[in-house]
Amino acid sequence: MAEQKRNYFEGPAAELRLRELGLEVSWLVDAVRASEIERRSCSPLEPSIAPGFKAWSAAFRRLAEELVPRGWAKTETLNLPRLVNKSTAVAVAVSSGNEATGTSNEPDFKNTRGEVSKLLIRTNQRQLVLFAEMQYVPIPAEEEQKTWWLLIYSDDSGVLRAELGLPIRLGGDAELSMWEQRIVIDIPNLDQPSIPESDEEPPEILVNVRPKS
Amino acid sequence: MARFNHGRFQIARERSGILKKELAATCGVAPQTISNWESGFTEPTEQVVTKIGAVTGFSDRFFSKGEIEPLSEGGVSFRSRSRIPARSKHAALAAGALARELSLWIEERFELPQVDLPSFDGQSPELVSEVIRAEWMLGNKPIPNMIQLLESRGAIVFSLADDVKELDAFSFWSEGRPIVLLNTMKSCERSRIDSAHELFHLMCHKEETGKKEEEDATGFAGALLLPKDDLYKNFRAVRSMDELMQAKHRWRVSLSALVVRLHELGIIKDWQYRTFFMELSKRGYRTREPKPLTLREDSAILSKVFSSLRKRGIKPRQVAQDLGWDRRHLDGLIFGLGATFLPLHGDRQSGTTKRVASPLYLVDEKD
Repeated sequence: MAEQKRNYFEGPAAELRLRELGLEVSWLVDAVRASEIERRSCSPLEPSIAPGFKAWSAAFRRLAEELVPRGWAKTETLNLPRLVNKSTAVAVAVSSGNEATGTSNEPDFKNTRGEVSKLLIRTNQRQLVLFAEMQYVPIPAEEEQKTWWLLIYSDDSGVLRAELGLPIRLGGDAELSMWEQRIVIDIPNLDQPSIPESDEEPPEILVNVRPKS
Repeated sequence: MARFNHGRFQIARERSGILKKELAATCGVAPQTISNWESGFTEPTEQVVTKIGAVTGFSDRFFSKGEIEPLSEGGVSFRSRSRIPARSKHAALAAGALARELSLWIEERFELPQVDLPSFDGQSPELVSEVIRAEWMLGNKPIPNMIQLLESRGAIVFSLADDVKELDAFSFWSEGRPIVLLNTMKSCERSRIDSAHELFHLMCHKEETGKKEEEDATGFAGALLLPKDDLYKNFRAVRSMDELMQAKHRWRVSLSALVVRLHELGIIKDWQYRTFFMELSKRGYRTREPKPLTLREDSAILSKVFSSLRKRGIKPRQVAQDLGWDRRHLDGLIFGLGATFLPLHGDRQSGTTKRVASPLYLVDEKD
């Protein structure tokens, strides 16, 4: 439990940890919001995969729009796009998470991972073994990247949560994925009361017209 | 024959959108002759005047009335001036001259609200909107009817007929009274923005307007119709186009006007602004307003005037006759503004607005 706490960041600690990775919390919040706008803008008449796909694409794009001008590179292998900072060897991918995303419970990917994800997660695991002593030390440029996943969870009731996680083992049928580090992204509450269509007392506008005698 | 007024002849021709050479062919004269008639060098015969009247929709009475002051282009605030074909521009200016005649006709017979429009000189659109809201005691509430707001301050609002549909609106001062011509064929949302836009011109621009003045007038329209305090109070964030679509009904503006204002106020960021605008374009919402307002704004002045006339047995046809106009010229100026229309679905909407339905025509009650 103590081990888990050490690798679990939220609030100000999350912001600090993100900075160590060269990331600002506002960039991730914007990416999450972009995905949500896109998801909610989908019509029920679109194919059922559209909301998920468009939300994922919008989050990645928004994040790329922040990171690429700051020297990060967009790479893509077998349909898995990532944003890579070659000087710090930090890479970020985007995915949907399950309901536990952004909570103290252990989250998991929402969908089954492909071969590239499996490979990247194995790489994360191998690096953990190699650099066990240096977990929070900046990673040397010449080493392979560690791939973090921005997990986003949203549902129709308005819940929207996200975290940046470093997976080291992929879950199977009965077990969850294992996360070496988890950084919870605090998404400001976007819920708002529905906007009233009219005021009960609109301003009075008098137009006096009368015939001249 | 009675005296032939060459200024009126030019207005009749231009209002009807007929070129000199076309009218010359109809009258069997050279185009130069038309120019001579318009400049007052020569006069047509009585028979030709009647023929011109039949073509342009004006009676001999119109041509023999006193001087009519044409509107000069410089004294009018046109939207999108450069894109308007000359023929439409002239037709619109001629419509403005007729609007002025009709407003004088009304003023002779009715007490109208006193003109009470402050003037501003160089103040920012945001500041002007705040001053106006404070002085007119509008608070931060949505404005239920822009046309009536203008009327309550002494303006008279007329409709632009659909033969000048390239124009959104224009306005000018006539003998101390502001006159606005509004394209009532556009969406309600658009008309509200146009009304506010013209209000700014009337208060701030006495000279010909350029790009900067047009931008300021548009900025003012956004600020007036979407007051920042009300937006800050109601919007914490925007999560979807659907939320915007619901919200636009509170302030009765177009979706794009709402997005522009939210961005201006920093409620949405640059990337959200881009996202929403791309989505608006993708869905065709920039040309076809989604979930349009179903309640159109009407004119309290025209409704009350024509209702009062009707009670006294004076029909729109007689008003037109008195002015020397064909009915279509009168209908064109009051179309869509709520004056003496055929009842829809059995009853007339009460209050400040009426349901959208087209086409609507002024009707004379049967004798």
